[in-house]
Amino acid sequence: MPQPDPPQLLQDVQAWFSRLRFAANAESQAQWMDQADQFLTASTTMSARERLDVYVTDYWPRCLDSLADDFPHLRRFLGERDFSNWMIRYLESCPSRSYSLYYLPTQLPQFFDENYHHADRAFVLGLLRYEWAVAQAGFVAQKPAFSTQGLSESEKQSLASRRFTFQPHVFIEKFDYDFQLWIDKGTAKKTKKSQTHLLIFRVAAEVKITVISAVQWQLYTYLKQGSTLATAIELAIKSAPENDLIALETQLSTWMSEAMQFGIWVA
Amino acid sequence: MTFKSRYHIPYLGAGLGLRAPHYPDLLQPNAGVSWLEVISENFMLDGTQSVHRLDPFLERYPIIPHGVSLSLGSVDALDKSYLKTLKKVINYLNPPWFSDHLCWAGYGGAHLHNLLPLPYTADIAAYVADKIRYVQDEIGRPFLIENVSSYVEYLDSQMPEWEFYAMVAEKADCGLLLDVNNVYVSARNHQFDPMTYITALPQDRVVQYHIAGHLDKGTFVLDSHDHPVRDEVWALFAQTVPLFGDVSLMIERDDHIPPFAELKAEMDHAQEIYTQAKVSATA
Repeated sequence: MPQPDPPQLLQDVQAWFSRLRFAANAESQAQWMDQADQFLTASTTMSARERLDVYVTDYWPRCLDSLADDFPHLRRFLGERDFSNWMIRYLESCPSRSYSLYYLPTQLPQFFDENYHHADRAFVLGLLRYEWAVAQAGFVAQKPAFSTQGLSESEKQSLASRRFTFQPHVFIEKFDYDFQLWIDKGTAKKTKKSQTHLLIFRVAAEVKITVISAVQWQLYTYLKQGSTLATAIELAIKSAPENDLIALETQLSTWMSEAMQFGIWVA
Repeated sequence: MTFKSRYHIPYLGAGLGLRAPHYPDLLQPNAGVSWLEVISENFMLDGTQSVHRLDPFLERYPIIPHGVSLSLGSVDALDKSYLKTLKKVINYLNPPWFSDHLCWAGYGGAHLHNLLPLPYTADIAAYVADKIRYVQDEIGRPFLIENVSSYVEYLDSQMPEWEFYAMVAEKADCGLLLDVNNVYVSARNHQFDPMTYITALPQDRVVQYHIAGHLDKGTFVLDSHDHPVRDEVWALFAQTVPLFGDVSLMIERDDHIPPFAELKAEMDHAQEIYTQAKVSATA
């Protein structure tokens, strides 16, 4: 069954209203607000413009509240006013394309990368990436998890040649700052650089943020890029400093069983 | 044959919207709630895996999915990917019906995250009805459309909202989710008699009631869903009930969620009014 063509009146109303709704400040809204009388009637208590304003004033707080919920620490670092200004610029540039507000920040990392050029750029971009990974880990898909149970003996023997796909909610991240420490301190000042490797994922309904070693991060990154387990280990060995190499040899089986326990790979 | 008998629509009694603070209460034996309504989109985010979070409730209650994003009145085509995911959620929950709003919520692929009213014309009624038919064909279950509260009226509307609402339902052959509070809110904002609205609706198509709170802002009334139901809405509900057959009811509260006992008391009050109004009507 084909979908129907819309009447012209709907086109006109919705084009006008959308332009108005996505205009973030009074100046850019004015030209569209001025057309209220062309589309709407007044009531005995309110003009057409006042009635329209009920809808217009509702959009921005709703979106800003949602972004503030997802990025509480970026908000704290930037301060209330700068955070709002940046988010309004973002929403003007990238209106919501999803039925859910959960996906509102989808293009936020790219937007900041292209537009945020202050001295604290590296810290801000890292913090944004950290908070967006934590937010996504909370709601993106959980697929059936890989387990060695049910594998035949020959399949178990050939695990080394297997390519592992990570759950969509698993984020293997490297940051130039220790954001967890910074968050725990509750300071608004930027912290010193300190490289950290994190595994961010969900178990049941809970988001877990685990500090991992550089070599584990490297191994998981190779796996995520599509290497077989054997190749990923080989590449991780080649790139690992000697101290990390010992960790790789002694802890590989622990990492593997933890990955299985937490179901971070897709069946 | 009426809409309700054709689709074997059951009467579910009194229910509540499922909200996280009430999860433990609703999992207690004898919670005293007959059914639950969930926001469909909350269980579609991760490719339907999150619908399994409803398993403990599904063992105890009928669960009705209620959407906020179909955007039936938008000039944009229906989102087929959204419909595909919605269908999976609905098939899992196996509800006797599902619902969304008679409104538009996006344009040009952008979402406005609000339920916006439509101009009321025969062309637009036909357009929306065609889309509803498409949705019903895709999902394969009885579908209800809910009347939204509104704060504007369009110059080009050719009929009152109640005629439009009834016309869409008849053309689409769908059911109605009658939000009594929304009728009250719109009646105050647009100065019409709410009973004129309610008596104009096709009786056999009303399947479910929403009852909620609102805020009186002086020059207009705001549908806020964050307060207890007000006396004027209870009174309108009591007048509404005798006009229709058995209609499942539920209390909507989306913000300032009170303790379970408080919301349950409100639901029980709705059930008392419902029962009393039925008794009075037959006396």
